[in-house]
Amino acid sequence: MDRMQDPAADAEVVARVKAGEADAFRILVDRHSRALYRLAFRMTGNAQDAEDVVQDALLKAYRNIERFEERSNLSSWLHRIAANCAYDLLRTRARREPSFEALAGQEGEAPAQRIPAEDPAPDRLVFSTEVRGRVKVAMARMSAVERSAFTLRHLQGMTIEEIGRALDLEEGAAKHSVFRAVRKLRQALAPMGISA
Amino acid sequence: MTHLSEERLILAHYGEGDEQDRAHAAACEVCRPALEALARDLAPLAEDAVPEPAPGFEDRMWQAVRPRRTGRRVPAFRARPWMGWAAAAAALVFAFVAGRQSALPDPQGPGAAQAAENVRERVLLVAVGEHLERSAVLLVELKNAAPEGGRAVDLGGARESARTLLAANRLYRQSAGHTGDPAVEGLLGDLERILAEVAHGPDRTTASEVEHIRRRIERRELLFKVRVLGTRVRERHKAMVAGEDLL
Repeated sequence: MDRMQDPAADAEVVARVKAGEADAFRILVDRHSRALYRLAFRMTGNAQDAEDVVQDALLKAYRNIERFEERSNLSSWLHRIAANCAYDLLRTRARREPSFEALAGQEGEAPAQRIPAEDPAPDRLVFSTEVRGRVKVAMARMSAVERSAFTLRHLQGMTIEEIGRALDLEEGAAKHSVFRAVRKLRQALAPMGISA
Repeated sequence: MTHLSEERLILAHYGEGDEQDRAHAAACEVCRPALEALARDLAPLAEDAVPEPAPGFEDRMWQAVRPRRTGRRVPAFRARPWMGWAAAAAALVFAFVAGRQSALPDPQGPGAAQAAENVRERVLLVAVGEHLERSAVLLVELKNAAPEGGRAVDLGGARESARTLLAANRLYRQSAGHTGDPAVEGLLGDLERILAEVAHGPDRTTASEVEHIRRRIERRELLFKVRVLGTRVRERHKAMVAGEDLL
């Protein structure tokens, strides 16, 4: 997981912000925003949404800085806020866009089959490209909660408990979201015989 | 012997769940290969690198959250913004008028200067009001843009409008920054990002890119806020005109 390794330095800056030195928050922005961006990009899948998520997360953090206890880990706190913002965005997006399955039904074939053929290339590159394509398709087929929970567990290294807190889920719900996400991913990759 | 379900294997893979399960998976001739297969399936995701954000990333993030010069925290968007925004509209225009007035000599004395300032403020109120109205029209156009034929959306007209609005918006946003009004500056900043994206984009844009712009407009309630501020600017202008008519 992307985590700053100096909680004491963060605590010192937070204390300065709370004491009224508002511009000190810039130090925290410079320290943590890239890591938050990586989390947001993995969850949302695109740069612009990722930037919007980081902005929203930093604004929320700034407005609620009084609630942060300096003995806690600031990076973890910021990541939870960013994960929650990204999750909100994914849910909003899901409400507005047709479901992936509906698109597949309308167009008469499973989306994975529409991965465009590459020009002749070394077998390994073709294989790697197709794997990435199938992973992308599998991630798109996940619900917002599955995608969020899986990204936080697999790519950010958060525990199930931390995921539950970040996404406001019961631990059981977070756990089962990860399970469903892993199953979808394995189903998408199975035709390629990766496990063989 | 009871072997591990897929769910317990997943937990073991991530180092969670029961410690006995992890120990069993490491030793069992059935569960160990299953755990290894799971790890192989999940391995491709670890290789996915995240591209770096566009240059100036930290600056952009700071601009979105930075506190005002007074050192007070940026307030959350109030539940009834129009009460504060009536004053904000006036302050926005005042900053413009004051900034320009400081460079002008006063050949006729203080009374004439006050009258001239009133005229300037009214002119600016009209200009700002029109800017916000045209911005609202553009936002509505973007919200309703529909793909033609294939997946492309023709934004040629919107692009021209955005280009025209962009320069003025920058001036008004900078004025709001001088007055220390974070709500108006933030709103104009959000508007400016949309204007810049449309102004610098191609005439024919993909449907998914237009949808992305639409989501950003809705997520920030941009159209609603632009309309409210525009209404307050026009009301202030009417009040000024009515006040002068009484003199």
